[in-house]
Amino acid sequence: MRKIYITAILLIGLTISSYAQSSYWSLNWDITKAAGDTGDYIGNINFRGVSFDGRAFINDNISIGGSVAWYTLYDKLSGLPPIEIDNGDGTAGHISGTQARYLNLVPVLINSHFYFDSGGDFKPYIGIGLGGIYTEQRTEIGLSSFSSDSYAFGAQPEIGVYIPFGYSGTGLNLALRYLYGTSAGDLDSLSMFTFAIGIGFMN
Amino acid sequence: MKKEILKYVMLFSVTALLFSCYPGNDTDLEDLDTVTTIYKTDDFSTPPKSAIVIWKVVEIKGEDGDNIPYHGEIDSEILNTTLDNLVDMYGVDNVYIASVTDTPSPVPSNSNVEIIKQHDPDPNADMAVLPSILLRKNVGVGWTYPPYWWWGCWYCWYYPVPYYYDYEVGTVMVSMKDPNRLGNEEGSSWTTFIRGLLSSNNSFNKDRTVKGVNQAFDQSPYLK
Repeated sequence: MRKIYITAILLIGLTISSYAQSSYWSLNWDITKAAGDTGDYIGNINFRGVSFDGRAFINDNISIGGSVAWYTLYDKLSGLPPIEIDNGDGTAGHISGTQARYLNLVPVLINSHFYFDSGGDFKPYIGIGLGGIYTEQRTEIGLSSFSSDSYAFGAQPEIGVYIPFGYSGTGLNLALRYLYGTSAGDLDSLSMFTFAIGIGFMN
Repeated sequence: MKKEILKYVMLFSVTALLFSCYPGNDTDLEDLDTVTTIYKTDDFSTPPKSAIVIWKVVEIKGEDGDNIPYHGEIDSEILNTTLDNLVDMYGVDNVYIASVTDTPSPVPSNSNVEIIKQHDPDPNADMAVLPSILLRKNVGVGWTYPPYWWWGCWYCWYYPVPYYYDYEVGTVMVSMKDPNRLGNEEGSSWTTFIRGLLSSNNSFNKDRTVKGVNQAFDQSPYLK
C-alpha cells in the first residue's frame, strides 16, 4: 500500500514538473484598424486600446483563459453628406457639419491557445477567443449626438509570440488579432484588426 | 510578489494612459458649426418658382435684456448669400427684395434684383424668405414678432418668426413661407438653422455665415 502511495506521488510530481509553465498573463497596448462596415464608419488607425489576458496551461502546448479589452476608436470627418432627419409628422430635413465619430468596444472573451515549440526561449502561439462584445457607437454633429449600443456575440482568432527578457518570467508579448462581432441592435457587424504589444508574465 | 506588484502597476499605468488620451479635447470652434434644414414635405410637392426676400435680419432677443451684443455685423452675408442662392435657383427675374427704404441696406449683391417697397404692387412671389438671428438662448417653442415698422405694408405684415427649443445664441435662421400665410402661426414651410456663427472674430464669422447659408441651400434640393 505504501508503495502505491509513493508511486502515485511520484507520478503526480512528474506530471506537474513536466509542465514548463502554469500560467501566462499579459497586459497590452492595442492598436486598432477597423475593416468592413466598421471601417466605413471609422477608417483610420486608432491608438487607444488596452487588453488584459490571463491563461492557464493544461499541458505544455495548450492554455485556456480569458481576456478583456477596451478600445476607443475616434475620427473627425468633415465634408460628408448631410444626415437625413424624418420627424414622422410630415416634416423632414437634413443636418450637416463636422462629424465626430466614436466607437467604444469592450470585448470579454474566453480563449484557448496552442503554443508551438520554437526550439528556443520564445513561444509563438495561435488562439481563438469567443464571447461577448459591448459596443457603443456615437456620432456627434455640433451639439447634437446620435448614439446606439449593443451586446453582440464575438470571435477573435489570434497569432502571437511571447519573447522572454533573458531568463526571467517576464517578456514581450506581440499579437495580431482579428475581432468579429455579429450585428446586433441598430449596429452592423463589427470587424477589426488589432496589433497588441505588451508585457507578458510567464509563471 | 514583485511580479504581482509589477502587474498592477502596469495595469494602472496603461489604464491611466488610455483615459488621458480619451478623444474629445481637439474640437475647434468651426467643428461645432451645424446646418440643419427642416421642411414640410407637402409644401414642396410642387417646388416654388419665385421668392421675395425680406431685407431685414430680425434680431430675436430675450425679454430679460440679457442678449449678446450684435450690431448687424453679419447681416450682409446672411442676406446676400441667401439672395445669391435664390437667384441661382429661380432666376433674377423671379426674385424680389422687400425693403421699407428706397435704398436697401445692406446693399444687395445683385443690382438686377427688383426692389419692392411698401406701396409697390404685390409681385405674388411663391415664397417669402425671412432671415433672423438668435441673440438669446431659447429654451422653448414660440413666436416672436419683428419690429413695428412692418405694420401697414402691403402684406400687412406682422409675420411671426418661429423659434425652437434649445437653439444656441448666434444661430442664424432663414425661413420660407407662402406670403399669403404669413399672418398665421402654422410654422414655416422651410427653415434652416445655422448654428454657432458668432465668435469674437468678425471675419471668421462672415466666412462661416457664407459657408453655412450656401450649405443650407445645397442640402435642400427640393426647393427648386
